[in-house]
Amino acid sequence: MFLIGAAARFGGYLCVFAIVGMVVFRLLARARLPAEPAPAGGVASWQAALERRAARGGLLACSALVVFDLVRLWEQIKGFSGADPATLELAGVILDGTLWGSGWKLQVAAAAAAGLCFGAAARRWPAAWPLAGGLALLVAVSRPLTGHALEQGSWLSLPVILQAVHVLAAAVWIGTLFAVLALGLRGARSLPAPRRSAAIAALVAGFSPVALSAVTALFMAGAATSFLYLDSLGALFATGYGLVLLAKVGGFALVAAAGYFNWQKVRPVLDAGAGHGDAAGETGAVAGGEDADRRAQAGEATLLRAASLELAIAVAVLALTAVLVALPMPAG
Amino acid sequence: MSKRIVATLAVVAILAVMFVSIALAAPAAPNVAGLHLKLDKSEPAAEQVLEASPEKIVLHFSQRPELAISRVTITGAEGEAKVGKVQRNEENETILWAAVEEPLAHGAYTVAWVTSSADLHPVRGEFTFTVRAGR
Repeated sequence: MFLIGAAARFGGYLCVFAIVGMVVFRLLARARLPAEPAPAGGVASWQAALERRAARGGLLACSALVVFDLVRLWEQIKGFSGADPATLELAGVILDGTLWGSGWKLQVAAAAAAGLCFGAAARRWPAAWPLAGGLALLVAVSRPLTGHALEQGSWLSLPVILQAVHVLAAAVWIGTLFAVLALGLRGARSLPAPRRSAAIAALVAGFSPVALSAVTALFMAGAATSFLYLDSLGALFATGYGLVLLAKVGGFALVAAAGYFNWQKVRPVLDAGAGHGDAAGETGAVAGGEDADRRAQAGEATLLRAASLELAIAVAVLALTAVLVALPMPAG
Repeated sequence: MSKRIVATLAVVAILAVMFVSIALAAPAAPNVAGLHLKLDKSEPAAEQVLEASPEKIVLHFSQRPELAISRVTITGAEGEAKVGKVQRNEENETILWAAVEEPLAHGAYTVAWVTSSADLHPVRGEFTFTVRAGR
């Protein structure tokens, strides 16, 4: 039962990150990518295609999140029914009679509504994206309402607020990184070389300050939460909760290091290739341009590898987090 | 230094100040770890020998338990005894009780209980007591 609960939490976190990431990615693309003229023949521009893919990604993530939340509800029911079968009556007691149940209902309602808005955004309905953005925020900050943070019995307690900031910051960082990789970098491959370099460099340049702010908020909120949950430094090493937390902090350090490498080493190469791309314009022919093209392509390949590694380690840290929140709190 | 970098550093600095303040203030805040739900005492107490059947089972917890999913059962040699719905003490929210609806005969009994705090992690326990009466 513990593994099922941890797996459902892991899947839920992945979905929340993807939902928030699609919204932030769309904002980044709008703010940073150069405007394109509408192509002939009714074919959508490259940016419009990116937005549609982001909307579909958000819809898929919302649908999956509802499924994972249903599994979590079933796990909760079984936790109280024990060897007896889970019943709708017990489900009703949990959903209508407990604070956890109220939080669960809010989460599922937000995910379902966000899914509808992403579906509308894929069809380019006006106001769909702003609504999806607001609901994505609600999806992220409502996660602590079914976790340890609720132990003090209030939605407005300090642990709930800190956890909400922690989850939202992680979703902005890792979710947007995923969207930049899965949609931005891969989608840019369809562009000719000069425009591709400029587009990738613009996306990465726009993502860097967002990631830096999110990482700071993530670390600070996580550290403050740890001070609340562990009543002594010894508990870090003496409890299962503390040991998993240590592993999570170690994984976070690795992810941050990979992100720093991308920021400091790969970005300048991308920017140089983008500068050449701007000068080349439509023809792509500028004296001495072949070397810059090769460097830009090498930079893009390095970025893809480093960012993929950053994402992979982040997913592993997320798995540890799912275990962490499924463990009982260290008893005082 | 570009405006974007300055703005980013400003956001980072503000966030850092906010959360360092929280971290420094955290020791003065209620220690969440110390609030983890557990049974402090019960009536009858564990292993107690009673001269008569108890009228109710009373459970004193370390923090407010969720009433809706709380359950109490009493099992003896004759099987499960009739126990009323779990209720909360009106003066102290951390105390739950359930009425013993039919007097218990002479013998040993096991009280099994399940509850949780607001985070709905189930907390379970059991204890035994003996009734030495009506033989």
